[in-house]
Amino acid sequence: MSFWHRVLQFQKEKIAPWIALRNTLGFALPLAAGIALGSIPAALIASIGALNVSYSDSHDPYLQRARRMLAASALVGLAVFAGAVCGNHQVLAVPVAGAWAFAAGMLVALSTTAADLGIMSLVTLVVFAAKPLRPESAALSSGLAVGGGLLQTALALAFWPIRRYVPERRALAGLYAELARAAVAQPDVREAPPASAQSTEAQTALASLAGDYSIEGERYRMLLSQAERARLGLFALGRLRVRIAREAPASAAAGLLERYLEVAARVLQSIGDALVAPQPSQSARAQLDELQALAEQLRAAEAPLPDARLQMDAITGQLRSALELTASTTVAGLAAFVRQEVRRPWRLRLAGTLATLRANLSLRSAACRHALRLATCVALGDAVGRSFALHRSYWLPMTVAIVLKPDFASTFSRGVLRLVGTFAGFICATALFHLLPAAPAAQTAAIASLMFVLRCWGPANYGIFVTAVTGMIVLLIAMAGVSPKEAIAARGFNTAIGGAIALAAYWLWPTWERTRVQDAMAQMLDAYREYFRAIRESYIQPEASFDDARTARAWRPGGRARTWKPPSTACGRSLEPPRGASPRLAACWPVRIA
Amino acid sequence: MLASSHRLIHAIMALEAGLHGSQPAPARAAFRRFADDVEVTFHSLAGALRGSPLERGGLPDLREDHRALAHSGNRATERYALVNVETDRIANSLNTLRDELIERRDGGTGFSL
Repeated sequence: MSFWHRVLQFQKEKIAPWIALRNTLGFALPLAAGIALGSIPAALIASIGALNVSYSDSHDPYLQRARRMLAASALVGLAVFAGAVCGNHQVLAVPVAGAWAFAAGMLVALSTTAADLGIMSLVTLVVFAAKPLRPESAALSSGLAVGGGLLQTALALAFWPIRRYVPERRALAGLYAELARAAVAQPDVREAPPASAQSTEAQTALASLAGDYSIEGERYRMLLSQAERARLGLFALGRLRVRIAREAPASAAAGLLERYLEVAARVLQSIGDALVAPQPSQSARAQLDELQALAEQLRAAEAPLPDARLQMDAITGQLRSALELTASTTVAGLAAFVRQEVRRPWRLRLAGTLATLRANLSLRSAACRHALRLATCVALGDAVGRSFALHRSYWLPMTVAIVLKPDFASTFSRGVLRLVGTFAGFICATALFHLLPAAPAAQTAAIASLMFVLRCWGPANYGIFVTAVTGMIVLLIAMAGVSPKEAIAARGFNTAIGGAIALAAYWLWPTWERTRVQDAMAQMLDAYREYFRAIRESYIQPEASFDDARTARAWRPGGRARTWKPPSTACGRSLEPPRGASPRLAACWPVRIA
Repeated sequence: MLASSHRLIHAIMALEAGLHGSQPAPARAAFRRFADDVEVTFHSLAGALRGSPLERGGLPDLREDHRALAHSGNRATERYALVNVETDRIANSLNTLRDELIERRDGGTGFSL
């Protein structure tokens, strides 16, 4: 992706008005309450807590959302306390900020969610380190920030009891709709297999149902299972269609196959539609009958396509089952369900996380290099700000923390957008400050409007995000009694220095994307190897079910080869033969690898 | 390289689809040999991407393995026919990936193997 494309891209699919609305409510309520009760400083702290936790809100399933937002609330509280207490000690503050930055940087190795939480808590830490407090006051501030975060969390989860499975249904609907599109599209072997991204998204969304053994939970898992099986069948039929179009384009079988895929696409679309607006399509039943008839016609025509007949029969059965599951609130054939997600004990999960972090504690790891770069730059920025007693110097390390990313292109584009957006935000804040009446209610309304812009359109373009957040921060500071002119000058100066430090660090010690591509490709090949091995064993031992082999070997969390999501963990560098390798493979392994 | 890896995974997925859609048949000895060599190749290519040495002559001859596979068993058996077609694609994709990696290393562009 080119630099200017990154800078100017506007990702419409990330616009989220409903999330923005509830986040704005969660942010503005403490502010309004503080104004009403005459306690603006306390309200500002609670609102800042709500603001930071709002970044963890999303359309994800409620359980995942709850876990992430509660973790964010706890981290905000910890960062506020640690920052406010360490701020008293000039010698302690810089190493604590550096160590926190290193830990936040290492979280890149785990997941994007973990990395985002790390950066959010780092920013909170450096902001509150600029406002030293006694331990008891720091604890009170921490409590207020946690309270703001919990309010935001409560609003994000408010509809959980009545819209419990909406995110899961949405993810499944996306998968079925994409399968409908892929069924009639020409397969292209240069592209990733059809519906890969939607399949991964649905698997992730339904992972939150791991401990949910309710009838509804089982129903959604079965719908996913049917979609996965239909995906494979459609994939095979698509390849047969290409073959027959090449070998016998005018044959009856070619026409039957074409028609079958068209009708199957309509049924899949009906299922997808019914999942988001649960009104089962009446025409889908008739279409299922047509699918059955087409399979019979192919059989009667005695066309030399036994594969196609078998796949058509299987897909028709899968679609019938999916349609019933979608339309009904009861589960038919629950006993046939074999694909239970097994929740790993928390000890294993923790061990896996620690193993990933340990594996990345090496200069070969892009995550470790990022962590070191981030720690050094944040500590340097903090030290510079404190040494020269810069006004509102926390914006300096904060800019470093936000701009510095594991890859150069993101760092550079974010640096540019941060600078441009900051100055655009100053203009916006200055205009608002002079145009609006000085009444707190008017200022609160302006701040809430900027919060809405920030959360609604900010995710679509980072420049919009920075413009809105800058304007909002200046107005918040003005509400605390500080002149906007003073805040603007300090933020502009510190942002420029922070951006320069981040870019200079990359210039001195770069990590180019191509070195990360190699690791990602290697992980992808490892995942393919696991997948191939599961299939190979099923061919060699036909009596063993493929699901057993797949569950045991290839379908580990993060290693779903068929959906092309490279494992987030660092792959081992061992040259040992893989577990379960045949004697011949094990015998020749060292020779081959050498 | 990404296109080759996509072609590769398409072929592996087709093998999985064939598991459900074809009558079981005993695995041929040549299939075991081919599968072993595919695994070794996967491991070697991933290792090369992580910095291990990679030489064309040090990798299994998948084309020869596939030739032996295609000439074994009854080709009219439905499952064997499917496996013969898809393993041909797997051999081709892995060989292409291998050549691309070696070419990039020798050409000094892109990856630094």
